Amino acid sequence: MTIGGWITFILSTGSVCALFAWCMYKVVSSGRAEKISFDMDAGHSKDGAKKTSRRG
Amino acid sequence: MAAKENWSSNMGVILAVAGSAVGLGNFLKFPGQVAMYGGAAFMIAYVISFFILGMPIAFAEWTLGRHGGSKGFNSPPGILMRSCPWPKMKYFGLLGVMLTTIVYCYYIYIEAWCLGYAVNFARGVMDFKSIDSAGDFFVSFIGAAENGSAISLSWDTVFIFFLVAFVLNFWLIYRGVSKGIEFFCKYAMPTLVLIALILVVRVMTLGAVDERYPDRNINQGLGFMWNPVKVVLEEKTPDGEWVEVSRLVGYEQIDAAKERVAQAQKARDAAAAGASAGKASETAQMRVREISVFEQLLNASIWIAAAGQVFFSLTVGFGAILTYASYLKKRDDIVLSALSSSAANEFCEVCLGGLITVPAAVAFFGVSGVVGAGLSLFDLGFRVLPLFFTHIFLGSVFGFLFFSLLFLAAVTSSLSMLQPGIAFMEEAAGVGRKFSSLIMGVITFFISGFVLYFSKDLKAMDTFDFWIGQVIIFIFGMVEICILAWVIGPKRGVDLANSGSIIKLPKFSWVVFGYITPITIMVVFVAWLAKELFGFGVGKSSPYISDLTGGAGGEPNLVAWMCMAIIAGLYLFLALVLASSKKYKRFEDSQL
Repeated sequence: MTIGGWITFILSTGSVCALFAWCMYKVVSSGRAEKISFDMDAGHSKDGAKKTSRRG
Repeated sequence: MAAKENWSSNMGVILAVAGSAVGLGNFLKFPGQVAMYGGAAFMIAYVISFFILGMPIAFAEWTLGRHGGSKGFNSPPGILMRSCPWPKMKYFGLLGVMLTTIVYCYYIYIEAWCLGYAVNFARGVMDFKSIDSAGDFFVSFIGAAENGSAISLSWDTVFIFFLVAFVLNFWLIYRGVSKGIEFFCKYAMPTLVLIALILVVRVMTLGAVDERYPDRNINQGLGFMWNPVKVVLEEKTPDGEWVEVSRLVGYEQIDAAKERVAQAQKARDAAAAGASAGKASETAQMRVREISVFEQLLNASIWIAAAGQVFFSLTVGFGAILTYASYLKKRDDIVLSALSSSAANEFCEVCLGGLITVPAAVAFFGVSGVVGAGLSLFDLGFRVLPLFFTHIFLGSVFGFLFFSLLFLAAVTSSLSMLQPGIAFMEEAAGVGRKFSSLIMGVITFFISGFVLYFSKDLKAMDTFDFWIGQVIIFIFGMVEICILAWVIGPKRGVDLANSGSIIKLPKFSWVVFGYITPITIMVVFVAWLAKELFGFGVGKSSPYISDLTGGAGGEPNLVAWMCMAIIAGLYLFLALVLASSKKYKRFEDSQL
């Protein structure tokens, strides 16, 4: 591989890795990554108590 | 009233959408395209296409999907109907259900190939001596030699694996969005990445696979893919045209080729000096030509290829993201989720797929060997790599891992193809998940059975893939972005996307949504049609047209026509279900 090839390779994979890592960091740090869904139509959620309190 | 389904976490929906996007194309098609068109030039076209084509359409799908879902619709017809002022738009939206269903019906066939190869590697029976023996096994395994030959209860044919893959898909889809799709993707995606990383390490630590050819190594494989300046050896034809003889990778090959050119020139000069014109013409004129990145970018094909790769890789224009996003609620994030799932897809494509297939194949066969065997998805995946795995230490283990990786990638994608149909049956026919799964199961079993039976030359699969998997997807994606741009309005579209999102789209995005993306996709579509359908620049008309018309003096192809009949029949059936839907009728009446 030529020097130009190495530069293309490092730029391509590096920028994609950086974008992916930044996205994962934002998702995890937002606190919504493992958020339990709150189902309006079902009349209940996995966490029924939480829903009642929110409705209330 | 039945409980409305939802995702259970942000990470779940991101992994599900990423799973939908990550497929065979990431690991087999992308590396072949980069190698074919040259590293830097292709990547420049690819990155530009990603930002002005792929991402905006993905944002449009996420936005329209969440918007439609918040209005009570989860399938493409309902979502498009709620996004436009024209209720009849639902019949266009039906294309989203039809195309995902038909694509599923041939994708499951390919999925079964991956499973079959993984199992056969695990059994330790994959032992190929040459590329021809690997090719013969492939043809026999998928039944490409004769119609009906794939249907046989044997380890050496695809049928058993097709049944297993089919049942697995429907078992997962029957369990629902959260307990089926999300549950599977949460485990499958990290497993897939882990397997890919193991394979990357294995490939990158390959020494000389064949000691007789020390120049065939990973460095050459990486150079073949990523070198920005393409160097080719060309020969002058009697007509005075220069044609490519071979690609040159690495300083050694280039020096050797220059030496060869110099010798050829000497021979010509000597012959000319000897006043022997006949001898002079026997030694062809040769040259080594360097094609710069800029010169490569002037070739329209590279732009069409890059745009197509981004478009199909992100699974945009498909109806799947539309449906998945409809299970989000109004306040759920979509901008970061869309970016994250696309970034995950790119990670799998560029960082993992780009480091496994082509470098490994070149390390084993050399550049000319790989080019000769073919850089297409099927050639690389099912002829070149199986042979490679049978010749490396612990090849059965790595072969099993590689095809398991492809199988996982394929399952996460095929699940996303079933969901629009299931959602449509639930809301249009008013049936529960159990019954809608049964209806879709029967429909897809018969159509995929058709694809499996008419396997000779893969005619049925190829016909469906061109007309549905490419033409209709392009049209559907184009209409989606046009709805966001010109019906909802680009500024309101950006506001809708930003609502509830963790990160916001920049203000200027409306220019991209409103003008750049719709115009670009139209230009790319017209250029793609001109090349693929009408043979513009290729010099011959499309075989897909010839199959239907019979071409010059030939007979129309019966299988191609049966495919068309199936497409029309399925659309008609779905339209009848839609026309008799009480839920849709109630909405239309409320608009009067």
